[in-house]
Amino acid sequence: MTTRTLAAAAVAALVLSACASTDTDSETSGANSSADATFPADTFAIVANADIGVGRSRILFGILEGGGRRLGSPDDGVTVSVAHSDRPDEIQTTEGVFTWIIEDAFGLYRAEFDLDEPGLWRAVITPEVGDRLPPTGFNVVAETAAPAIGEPAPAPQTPTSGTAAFEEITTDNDPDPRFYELSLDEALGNGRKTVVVFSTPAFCQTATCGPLLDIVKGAAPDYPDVDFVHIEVYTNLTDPDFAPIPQNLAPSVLANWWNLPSEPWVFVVDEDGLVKARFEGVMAAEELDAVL
Amino acid sequence: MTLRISIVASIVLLTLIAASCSDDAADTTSPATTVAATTSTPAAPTTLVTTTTQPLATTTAPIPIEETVTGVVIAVEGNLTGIDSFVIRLPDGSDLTLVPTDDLLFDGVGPLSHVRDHLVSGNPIYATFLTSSEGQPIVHAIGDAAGDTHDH
Repeated sequence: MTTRTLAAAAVAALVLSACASTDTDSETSGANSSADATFPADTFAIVANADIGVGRSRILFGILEGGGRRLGSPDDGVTVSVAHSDRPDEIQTTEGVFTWIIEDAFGLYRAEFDLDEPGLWRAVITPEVGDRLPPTGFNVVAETAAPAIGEPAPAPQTPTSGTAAFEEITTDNDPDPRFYELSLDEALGNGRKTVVVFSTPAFCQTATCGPLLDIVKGAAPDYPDVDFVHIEVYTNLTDPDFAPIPQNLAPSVLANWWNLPSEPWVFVVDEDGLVKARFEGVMAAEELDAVL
Repeated sequence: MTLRISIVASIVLLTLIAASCSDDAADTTSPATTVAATTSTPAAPTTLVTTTTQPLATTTAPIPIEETVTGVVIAVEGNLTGIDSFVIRLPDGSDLTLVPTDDLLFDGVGPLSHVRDHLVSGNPIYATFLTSSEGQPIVHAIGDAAGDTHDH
C-alpha cells in the first residue's frame, strides 16, 4: 500500500471515527427540528486547522449546511465542547467566537482549549437555539510542525525591497513598503517585537490570504515600535515559466526553517526572538491587538 | 492413380488448413474462444460447438470511468509540499476521499495546497477522477465549483 493510500485511509478514518456518534451524542445531536433553531437540521461542523499541538491551542471551526452552504455569523452564538476520544467524560466547554474571513460574507468560529494529550479529540458545537451539531474530530500532535508558542522563531535571511523589486518578493498588488524593509534575520535579532506574515495573496485571493495580510497591514500603523515582515510563500515570481508548485516554495517556509504545513500564517515574535502567538489561516484584528 | 490420390489428399488437406486459418482469423476478435469437434452419435454429422471459456483478453481489465463530483472540503492530509489526500462531502451527505495525481494544480494554475483554503472558506470545489485498480479515486482535475454557497 502506498504512502498516499495510507494517508488517505488515515484521514478517512479520522473523519469517520470523529463522526461516529456515541449514545450520548445520538440522544441530542443532529436534529434541529425547532423552527427557530440557529442552524438547519443537516448542519455539520469541520475543523479548519492543519497544525494542532499539545498545549493551549486555538481551534477553528467551520459550520456548513449539508449542501455545502457556509453558516454562522456574530449573531449566531455557539458553545464548543471538546474531549479526548479516550476520555470522553473530561469535557472542556467554552464560547465560540465568530471571525469573519470576508466581512459579512463568511467566516469561522474560534475557541481556545488546553489540549493535554496527543491523539484524536472530539468536538461538539451547540448553538444558542437548537440541538447540538454532530461531533467532529481533530488530531492533536505532540509537536507541531510550525514553531509552537515559546519556541525560538527561526531567523532565515529573506529578500527585502533593498535587494529586489516588489514584484520579485511579493504577490500583494498593493504592498506596504514597511513589510519588506527588513530581512527576517535582521528583524528577529534587533530586540523589537516582530509580526511575521506568511502568505501568497495572488494564489489564494478568493479567501484567506489577501484578507489576512490586509488585516495586518491595517494594524501596522498603530504599532510603530513593532517590525512587520511579509514573506511570500513562493519564489521565482518573475520567472516566465513560474508555477506555484512545491519546487518554487520559499526556503523560509520549508522544513529547515518554519516548516509550515499550510498557509497563510501570522506569528508574533517577542523581543527575545520567541514565538508569542501563532495564527493559522484566519485572524481577527482584535486578536493581533491583544497580543501586541 | 497414386499421384491423383495424393493430389486429392493434398487439396483436402489444404482446404482443411484454409478452413482452420479462416476460423483462426474469425477468432482474432475473440482469442479466448475454443472450437471443439464433437460427434454425438456415429451416424450424426460432425458438429462444431463454440464455447467461450474466459473473457476476451482485451476486456479483462475494467475500463476506468471518469467522474466529476462537487462538494465541500471537510478534511485535508498533507502540507505545502504536497497534498496526500482530502475528503469532500457530497451533496447527498456522503464523504469521498480523493488522492491527487502528482503535480496537480488547482484550476490548472494554482497550488494544490489551495484545497486547504477551501477547507477554511467553505467554498465548494469540483474534482474529476478515475478510480484506480485499488479502488482509490485519483484526481486529475480540481478547481473552484461554480456558484456562491456562502450565507449567514
